[in-house]
Parts: sequence; C-alpha cells; structure tokens
Amino acid sequence: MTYKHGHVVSVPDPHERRSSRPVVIISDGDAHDHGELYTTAALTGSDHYGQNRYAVTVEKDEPAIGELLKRSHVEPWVTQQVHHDDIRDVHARFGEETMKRIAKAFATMVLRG
Amino acid sequence: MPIHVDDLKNDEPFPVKPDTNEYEALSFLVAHREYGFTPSEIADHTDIDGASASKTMVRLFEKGLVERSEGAYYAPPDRVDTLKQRLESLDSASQLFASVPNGDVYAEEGWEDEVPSIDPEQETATPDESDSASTENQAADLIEDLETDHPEE
Repeated sequence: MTYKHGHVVSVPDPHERRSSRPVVIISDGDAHDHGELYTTAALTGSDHYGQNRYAVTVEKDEPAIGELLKRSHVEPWVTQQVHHDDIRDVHARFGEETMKRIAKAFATMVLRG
Repeated sequence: MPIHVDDLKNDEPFPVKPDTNEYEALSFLVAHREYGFTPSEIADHTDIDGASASKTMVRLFEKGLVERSEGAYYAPPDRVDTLKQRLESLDSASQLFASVPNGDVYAEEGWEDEVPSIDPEQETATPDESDSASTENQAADLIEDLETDHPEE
C-alpha cells in the first residue's frame, strides 16, 4: 500500500511524548523513492499561523474524502520528507482544487524569494 | 528476539529514538558505511561517553540494526540505505514537533480519534491522476498568473 498525493496523514512523535502531527503528502509517483519517502507539508489548527500570507486555509469538510478536525491551515514553509513506516494513519484526501491552492502558495513563496 | 528493521510494521515505532546514544552511534555507522568500528572508536568520533559505548552497541546489535565482526560494529550493507532513510525521517518528524504553535488543536491528546480514518485506496480525482503534460501546463499557467498579478515583486 502506497500513500497518495493529497492524503492527510498523521506522523507520530518519535519521542513518544505527544500526539501525532498531521501533514499532507505533496509528492507523487514521479518523485524519487515515492512509496518509501513522501514529501509533506505540515498542517496546523493555529489561526495565528493561518494568518501567514503563504498559509492555505482548508475547511473542516473541504477534503474530497474524509474530513479535518476543524478548519486548518497548510504551512508551505514547513516541508519534511517522511518515511512510509513513520506514518500512522490516513484521515482525509484533498481534492484537486485544494491541491491547486497549495501549489499556488508554494509558487508564490518561491517566486517572491 | 530482535525485530529486523525491514519487518517493522506501521504501528511499531522505529526502535531508536532521536537524541540518544543509539541514534548517534547508528547515524555514525551509516555515515561511515564502508568501515567497522569498535565501541571505543565510535566514542572517539562521537559525543557518546566511552563508558556507555559498549552497552549502546550491544543494544543496537540486539535490535538487529547493526552487525558485528571481531569486535567491530558496522551498518548492514544490504540495509544501510533503508536505515539512512529511517534516520532522516526521524529527524523530519522531530522537526515537525519542534515547530508546533501554541494553541494548536492538533497538539491536543487524542485528536486522531476524533477524525475517522479513511481507506487509503479510495480513489478521487486529484492531479496525480492527470497526465504529466496537463499538470505541467497548469503549473506554467499558474506561474504566468502570479507574475501578471504581481509584476513588480
């Protein structure tokens, strides 16, 4: 089983002290080592972080499959590569329109630099 | 009975935690994959205390994460790339937790139980199911739009 582009997954705390963190998978099958490693962008429920100009706000019931805990914000400035076995669960999958907004946030961030 | 790293399941965390002697020793051996080192040599090249190095290496050996020959420990050649990925992923996960803002509902214990799991195989229309040329054209249009919207930036 391979996780897919747009999946919102939870990543456990490697220190096992806190709840897991949600991230969205932004890489796909054309990325190197996809299936073993996934490039992800962090999600937060913090409205303070949601005010950042690059944050992408996603409504609770916006995912094409599943839902979020509440209105959340994708943080394009927090990207990490996570191994397949460090992912615990899949909670939702973003649809094309949501992924386009995330792509636009990334493009804006890169172009303005 | 040690668990082979390739046999670890999703719900079983990697048997080494970040910021520990085991993590540091394993990282060192993975970075120097072509050589074997005694515990004292590993202590000399890392921040691991000399008195702790032997116990650290025995624990890694018992977990099946390193191999041993004539007193020297080394990263298993056939699994060193996987171990490297796992260690890097541990670093990534640690970074995710280092940047958690105050008041984030996702930092509350048990949030995962309030959001039902979905079947990862369930399909939906997303860009990775579009053909590459179409997606590349969309990206090019997106960049053109951004440059038109903010020509001075």
